[in-house]
Order: sequence, then C-alpha cells, then structure tokens
Amino acid sequence: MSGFFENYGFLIVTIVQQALLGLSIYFPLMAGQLSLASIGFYSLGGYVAAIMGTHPYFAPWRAALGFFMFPLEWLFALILGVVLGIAVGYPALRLRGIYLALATIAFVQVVNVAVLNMPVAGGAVGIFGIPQAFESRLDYIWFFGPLFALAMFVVYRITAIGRGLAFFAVREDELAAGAMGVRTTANKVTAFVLGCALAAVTGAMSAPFLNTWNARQGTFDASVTCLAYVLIGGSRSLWGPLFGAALLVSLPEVLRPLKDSRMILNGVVLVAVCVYLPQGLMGGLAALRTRLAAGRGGVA
Amino acid sequence: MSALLKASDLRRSFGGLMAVCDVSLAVLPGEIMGLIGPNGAGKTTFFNLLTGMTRADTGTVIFDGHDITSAKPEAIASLGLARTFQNIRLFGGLTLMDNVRVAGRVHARTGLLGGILGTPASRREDRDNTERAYELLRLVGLADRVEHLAASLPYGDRRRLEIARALALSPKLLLLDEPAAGLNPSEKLGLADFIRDIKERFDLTVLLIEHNVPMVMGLCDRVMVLSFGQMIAMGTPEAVQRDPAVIEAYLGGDTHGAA
Ligand SMILES: Nc1ncnc2c1ncn2[C@@H]1O[C@H](COP(=O)(O)OP(=O)(O)OP(=O)(O)O)[C@@H](O)[C@H]1O
Ligand SMILES: [Mg+2]
Repeated sequence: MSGFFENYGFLIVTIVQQALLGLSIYFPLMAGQLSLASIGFYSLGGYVAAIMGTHPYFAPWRAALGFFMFPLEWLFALILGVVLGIAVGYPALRLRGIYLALATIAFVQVVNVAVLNMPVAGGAVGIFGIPQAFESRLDYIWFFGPLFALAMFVVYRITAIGRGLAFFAVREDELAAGAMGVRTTANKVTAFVLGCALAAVTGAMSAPFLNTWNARQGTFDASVTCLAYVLIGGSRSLWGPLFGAALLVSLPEVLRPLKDSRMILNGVVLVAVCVYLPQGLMGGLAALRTRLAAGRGGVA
Repeated sequence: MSALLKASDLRRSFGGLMAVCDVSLAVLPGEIMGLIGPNGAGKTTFFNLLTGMTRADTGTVIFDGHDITSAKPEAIASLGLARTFQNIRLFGGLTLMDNVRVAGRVHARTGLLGGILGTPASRREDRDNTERAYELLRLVGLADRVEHLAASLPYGDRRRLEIARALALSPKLLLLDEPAAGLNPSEKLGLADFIRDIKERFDLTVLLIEHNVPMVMGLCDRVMVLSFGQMIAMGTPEAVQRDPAVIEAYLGGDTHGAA
C-alpha cells in the first residue's frame, strides 16, 4: 500500500487539486452559469500565497506565525476571491450562455496581463522558491483533501436543502424562477462567488505545492482543461469533477508506455466520451444503472 | 371596496407595434375577471407588464398598495402576485415536488449558510415547505407522482403542476394565461370548478386569459376585452357578449378568434 502511494501519490494529489478546480466551475453551473473565470481566481489566489510566502514585507508575519502563515494565506485568497467575485459577477452575470463564457475568458486574460505587468508578481518569470508546507509533496493531500471534502459537502448540502433549489430553478428557467419569487441575480452571483472563492483558495494551496508561481498558471488552456473535467466527468453529478479530473490527469500517465502515439489515444478516449456519454462519465453510469434496474424489473 | 390591482394607462410597444395601448384596469378583491381578445391582442403582454417581465413604456401598476411598475418579477411574486404561463414554463429537470418547493420558499427566513449547516430552523422550514407542497400537489391530483420529473408529465398535468406551483407563493392575485389551452374536453370541464374551488379555499382574486367562451361566461364576474392592444369593452359577461365592438373585433376582418 505504501509503495502504491509512493508511485501514484503525486498523481493522486494532483487529481484532487485539479478536481477542486473542476468543482469551482461546477458551482456556477448549478445555477446554469457557464463561467470560465475560475482559473483567473486560481492564479490570483496563488499569487497571494506566493507573495505572502516570499515577499520581505511579510517576513515578520512569517516569523511570527510559522506554519499558520498558510491558513492566513488561504484566508486572504478567500477574501480576494469573494470581493473580486462579487465585483466581476454582478456585471458579467447579466450575460448568458456563450457570452458569459466569453466574458469570463476575457477576465482570465485581463488577470494574466495584469500579473505580467505587476513588479510584485515577478513579471514573466513569476515567483520562485515559495516556502514549502511539508517535506514531501505527497503531504499536500492534507491541504487539498480537507478542502475537497469541504467543497463536496457544500455541493452535497446544496443539492439536499430547499434553499439549494433556487440555483436549480435558475438553471432550468431563469424567467420562471423570477416569477416564482427566486432572486435570480443574487442566486447567480452567489453560485459564481462560491466557485471564485474555491478557486482562489485552491490557488493559495497550490503555490507552495508547485513551488513556483507564474502567469502560466492562469492561461486560457488551463480554463478549458478545468471545464473539460466537468464535461467529461458529468456536469449534473457532484462526482463529475473528480472523475473527470481523474481521467484527464491520469490518462496521459497511464498511456506513457505508448510514447508518441499516446496523445492520439488520449484524444480518441476524450472524443469517445463526448460522443457516447454526452452526460459525462457519471451520466453514463447513471444511465447504465437505470438500464440494469429496468432489466431486473423486467425479469421479476 | 378598494382595488387589489390597479393598472393605469399601461402602454408597451415592440418596434412600431403597439402591443398594449393605454390600458387601465382595477381588479377588486375576490373577483374572477376574464381577459379575452383575438390572437395577438396583447393579453399576454399585459400579464407580462403586471408581473415585471416586460417593462412598461408608460403607466403605473399598483398592487395591494405597492407601486410595482418597475419592480423585479421576484419582488412582485413575493408581494403575492402569482402567474402561470401560456407556453408552460416548468422547471423540467426538477421533480414535481421541487417545482412546488421552489415557490414555497418565497417567504423563507433561513438562508444558504443555515441550510448547509443544517440548523434546526432551516430543517423545520424545509419540512413545513415539503408538507405544504405535498398538500398542493394532492389538491391538483398529482400526489402520486411527486418524485417524477416535471418534463415527464403529459400536457394537461403540466398545467395543473404550474397552478400548484403558483399557489405555493400564497398569492392574493392569481394570473392564469390560457389555463384550458391544450386540455381535453373532460379536463376543460373540470377546470372551471377547480378555479372556483381554489379561489374559495385560498381566498384568491383571479384574472384569467381564456379563449374558451363558455368557460369565461360561466366563471367570470367581469370580462375585459382587448383588441390590437386597446381595451374595447369591460363589464359582465352578458353585456360584453352583446357589445357590438366585441362582435366586430372577433368577426370583423380577422379570421382567427374565439374558439
Ligand atoms: N417580446 C416581443 N417582441 C416583439 N413583439 C412582441 C413581443 N411580445 C409580444 N409581441 C407582439 O405583441 C403582440 C401582442 O402579443 P401577445 O402575446 O401579448 O398577444 P396575446 O393576446 O397574448 O395573443 P395570443 O392569444 O396569441 O396568446 C403580438 O403582435 C406579438 O407578436
Ligand atoms: Mg397570449
């Protein structure tokens, strides 16, 4: 077992870290909002941690707080995520569907250009030598694991409680939701901000995990990858982001023996999932279960 | 008796088309008022103006003492003005139960954090809401399918679910946009009785758009007639039926009309 974790531990930690980004896209999707802003918040959260972890200004803080500097970084990232999320969410969420997606992609680009031009963020080189929280990178599961559990708990509770229905009502029919007393704008912004906050804290945890932080963390490619986790995993199941991240992160590793042809097979698998499982892996699983149940019912 | 709903000189145009033209109306508490008119007369637009889904160009709407002319739909709904849609707008991917529970939370006090933490207050609120939703579904005869998805319902049942959902808002005024459209004859027959029944039970005032003339005549205390956005008649069903302007609107020129 310990051998297994040594071999695959880093992969597992990365899967959980990436699944967190998938979940951050899942939150606004619960209210029907397709936002790709997550990666921008992830990038900013990472810079918050990187700057607080390396900048001389924070040296006395680090000396005084020791390990507790990390939770403080998360807190600052969280506050930034919430405040900026509200500021971006209110205007952006007036747009719908593909227009919202485009606006949030633009936001990611703006963040990218902004950090490239901020001396404190280290320009194109970024920030190096971010202090480590643990000796081994595998131990970062103690960061990402609890955050993932918390995020999953929140998603699960939202699907279980009456208050969560407002999100789904907006997703199903925004106009009808308004006519049924649902505060549509407030709900869209809330779902969006939950995603922003999660992405920002994930970024703050990821900066020490990855040791360096630069503008490449927040690119358009990365946004699309996060969206792919949700779409491949299943956008209607809270397990979708995890399964999608697991598949997309591990597939290139599993296929490594195939050398150059692995990227082709990687692509083939993804296209096959999209074509044959339009509801993603979890959607396919649910369909299979209903079919099996129906089969049993037919025999009985 | 003071009016529950008072619309004054409401006007709305789309491009060059005057969909609703300076319509004024006072709906008294407890009455069932019919709204009829040929296709494209502006009836649905009038409902949209009352419920905040379409902005009025000019005019005002007072509901239950509140000026709701430029209020948001959710604010209007929470004041007790509920509606159904001509083209049925259910939350298709949600269960019947959840469709009704969404609206039942209109006066909810507990928020997202309380719900996530599962505070006693929020659990009680959810339980009460579920019970009430179940009662409403039973009232409209859908209690046997509460966990089905709304999208799986046949047409007539969708209309009933939409009414149950609107009732969950605990409305004072219920706007029904062609509730009989698409129903089979026996369902149509039951609908008038059903509307009368819920009006008594929930102490409602009802404003309904309907093309089915016998139903309007039998059900409504007063009828208002729209044609090309203008109100051309208003009065008892008998008076309106004899009104030359109404006969002209339905028979003159236009081939489509009351059916
Ligand atoms: N959003 C809109 N944009 C442009 N024109 C509109 C819009 N909504 C309604 N109209 C036009 O306004 C006029 C009135 O439409 P409305 O739907 O209110 O009629 P109606 O009386 O409800 O008709 P029906 O009996 O067919 O339901 C129609 O000519 C319609 O095409
Ligand atoms: Mg209409």
